[in-house]
Amino acid sequence: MNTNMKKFDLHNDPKIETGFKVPEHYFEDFEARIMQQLPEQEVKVISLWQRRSVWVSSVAAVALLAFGLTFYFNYTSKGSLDETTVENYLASNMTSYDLIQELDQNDIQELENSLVLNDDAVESYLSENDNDIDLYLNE
Amino acid sequence: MQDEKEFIADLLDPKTQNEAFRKLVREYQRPLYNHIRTIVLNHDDTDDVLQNTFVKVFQNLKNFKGDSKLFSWMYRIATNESITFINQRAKKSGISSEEIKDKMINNLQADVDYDGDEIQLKLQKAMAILPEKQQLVFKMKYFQELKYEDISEILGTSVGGLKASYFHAVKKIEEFLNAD
Repeated sequence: MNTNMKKFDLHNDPKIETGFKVPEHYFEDFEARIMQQLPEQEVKVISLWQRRSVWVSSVAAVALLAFGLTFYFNYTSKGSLDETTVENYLASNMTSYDLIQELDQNDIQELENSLVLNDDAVESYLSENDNDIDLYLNE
Repeated sequence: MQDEKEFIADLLDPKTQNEAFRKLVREYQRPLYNHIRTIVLNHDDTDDVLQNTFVKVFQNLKNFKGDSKLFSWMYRIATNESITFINQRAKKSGISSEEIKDKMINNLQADVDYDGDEIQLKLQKAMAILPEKQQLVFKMKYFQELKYEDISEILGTSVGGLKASYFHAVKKIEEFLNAD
């Protein structure tokens, strides 16, 4: 075919076919086979299940919402704030510097009175933080 | 075929679904088979991939947006399924997809469903050396005689890019065929 040095020219030469053969009756059989595989019952099963699962999820969602709302209203309608909540709020939203700014003389007096300090406690604190002792001593 | 929108509606309606799908299979099994066969080469493998393709089509019909033609969408699924098939086969055998393609070409001669002559086999070998995209474009254009516009929808590449790919593919194949 290529003996007289003729160059292949895909566009002008007769088309080269693939050379693939298909077994006889393949396509007739294929149609039947694929229709069998497809899922008549799968379609039904899926749709029923989907319908049921939509119901289940809806009920679950409503129940969850009802529970959440009850909880939310009970919680927020309490009105009064307990001390721990306030303390936590202040601790997380204010720096100690902010707090100090808000203290007056009486508060400081009260804080000092509430401190139970004894010499042992002071000493052990200082010995644990020994780097700082020098600073205090130098002063 | 009837108006595509109506046909898709029939495919989605449980009452008409089966009959419509049968029609779809009848209409597209041959062209899709030929397309897959040019990629995976062997009849039994093509049969597997073709089944997977139709099952995928069936399962995903509800997601078909209609922004491309049904035909291009199915070709795209068939192309992806074929490439996935080859990659999986390569992975299973622990070799690269290039090596598995070489192996598939070499198996052709002994294949009872292949009666290609010397030139046809040589063309298969020539195509095998092309980059994947060029192979696909060449096969769809040369064997399947699809329009560039359709190939563009199937592969998601611009028509200009496809023409360039096809041009390069033809040149390389002719060089290969004329090499000795």
